[in-house]
Amino acid sequence: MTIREAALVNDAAGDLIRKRRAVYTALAPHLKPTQLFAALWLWEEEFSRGPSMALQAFLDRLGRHLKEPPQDRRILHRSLVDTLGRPEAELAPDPMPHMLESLAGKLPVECSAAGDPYQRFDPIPLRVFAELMSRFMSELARHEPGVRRKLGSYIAQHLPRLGLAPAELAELGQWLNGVSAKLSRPLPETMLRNLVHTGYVAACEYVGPVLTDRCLAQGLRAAEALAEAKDYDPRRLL
Amino acid sequence: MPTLQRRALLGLCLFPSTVLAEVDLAGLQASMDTVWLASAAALVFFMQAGFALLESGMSRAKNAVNVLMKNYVDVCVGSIAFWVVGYGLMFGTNHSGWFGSDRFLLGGVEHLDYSLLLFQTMFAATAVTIASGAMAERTRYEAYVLGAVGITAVIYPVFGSWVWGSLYSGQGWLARLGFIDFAGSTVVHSVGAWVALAGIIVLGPRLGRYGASGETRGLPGHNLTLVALGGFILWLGWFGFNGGSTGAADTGIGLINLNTHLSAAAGALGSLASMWLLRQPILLTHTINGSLGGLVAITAGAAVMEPAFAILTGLLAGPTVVLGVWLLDKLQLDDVVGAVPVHGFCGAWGTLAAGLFQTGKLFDPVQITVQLIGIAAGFLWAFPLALLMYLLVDKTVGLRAEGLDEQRGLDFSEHHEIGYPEFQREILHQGDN
Repeated sequence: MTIREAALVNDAAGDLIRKRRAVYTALAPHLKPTQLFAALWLWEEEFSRGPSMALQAFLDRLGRHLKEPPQDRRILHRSLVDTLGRPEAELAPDPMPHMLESLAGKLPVECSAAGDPYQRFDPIPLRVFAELMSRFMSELARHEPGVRRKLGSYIAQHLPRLGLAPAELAELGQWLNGVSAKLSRPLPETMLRNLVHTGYVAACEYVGPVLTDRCLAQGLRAAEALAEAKDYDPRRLL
Repeated sequence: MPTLQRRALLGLCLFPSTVLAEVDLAGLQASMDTVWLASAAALVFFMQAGFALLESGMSRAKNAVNVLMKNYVDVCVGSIAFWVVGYGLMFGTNHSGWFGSDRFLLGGVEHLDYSLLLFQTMFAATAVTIASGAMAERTRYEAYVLGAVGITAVIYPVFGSWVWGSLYSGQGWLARLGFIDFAGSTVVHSVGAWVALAGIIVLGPRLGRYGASGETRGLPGHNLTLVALGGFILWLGWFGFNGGSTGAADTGIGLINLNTHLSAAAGALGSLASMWLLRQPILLTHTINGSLGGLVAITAGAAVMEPAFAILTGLLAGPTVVLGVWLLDKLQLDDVVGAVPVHGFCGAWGTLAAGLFQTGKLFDPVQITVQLIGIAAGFLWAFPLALLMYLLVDKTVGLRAEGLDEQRGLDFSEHHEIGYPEFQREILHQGDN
């Protein structure tokens, strides 16, 4: 990968983590623990990649998302604006490990909608992801033998930057390198999308974007053929 | 018939020359000049369609709309920025020789001033849109538009004032030296190309464009029919671009547009010959870019050379494009449409050619020296300033699109539109997020 491309991937992932830490720092003093993780997942899924000016939209959405909407949105807004501009040293550690525990049902999460994906772990996206990535990498390997190993190594190298907990890291690394055939630990959609994108960038570097697009389209078709695709659109991972 | 009219008619029949002398010839000439300028401005405006089609066709389908939007909107913002400040900097009273100092927000002026502003606005729009093609497929939309304002408000007009800034009072310093750039090989095209060069350096190449061993991977455009149509439209528009630079409806337009046409034709042939000699495939994109290179090159000297030299100018522009594209890839500078070789390298060559082949002063060393000074001045002004501008934009709003947006295609990422929804079943993202 060129230095520029690696920097782009790293910057994007690093920026996501920094913003997540800032939002956690901003909201933690003002929300109950049960509300906090629901808010963090909402941010992660729908607002983390948007512009900073989307804070009002985030708070609007949060008000509808929680069973008990926060009392004073102005305080939350001020807190968010303040912490998003702070240096990293002043931010709380990355809350992702706790967020993943909340996803696996180990921590209570309070949301307004029944069946909210943030309430419990849904294995379907993970299965769709596994099919998409497997076929993507197989197609690449058909054209360029040896590229699967390179891709797996590259993604595994970048896993720590994606803010995963050690257990998730280990399982994913083994799966990418072909050591293990199964993925079972919960991963949020943004993380899965990030992984697909990291694979895309690496493939572009190794085989070029034209072949990469073609192989990814094959992966997408394989994922769309799954029964699970009726409940979960594989294109959400792209 | 009333008595006065009968007497006038009688006078016209008996003494026609006397009667006609009282007709306002100056007014008639001014009207013809205005009609020609307005028509030429319309032709130059139509070149925007040519740029849009050519650049969109040379991009991948998932970025087609984004390329069109850049071309469409940079005319809009550029036109306003040029009216607000660019025209004054370029054509206002220029005593220092470095920039104009009045005629901003032009209004309440003579008719010809409006015609000139109209025509020159189209030139500014041409300069700004050159960068859009080079920087396609990975540039954030709002960042590009900010850059367009900078180009039309400052970078382009200040250099233009050095060459053409003697419209009202004073004279640009390059004009005082005797620099020849009749319709803007350097002023418009090279300046636009050096800005594009700065842009692609700051941006970096598209994902996967260059392999680890330095090999260049082809990223074919999605529609070569559009590229060809764009080329034809640009060729047509150039008759207004060069012909209209007389500023008047005069008999010199015939030679100017003949030279324009011959150089374009020779440019395509020169490009074909070089691909054949280099044992390369005969590519449509290089052929069309060859003719565009010929058009850019002749723009400086269309009014000052004989047709044979116009053909020579174009003939040498063709290989300049082919070799220029090769050189940029060797340096891993990703120029999606070849804007830098076509507008930059051919613009420099054409400006030099205007000095080499000037009728009555063939191969004049003094003129050649002045041309070289002007070419260098254009680069030394536009390139560093554009580099600074794009670095600043990158630091503030971000110039490069995110990797995920580049993967998805900028049509969806920037505009939530897909260029070919019925044929892009393979488009990799159509979700809500």
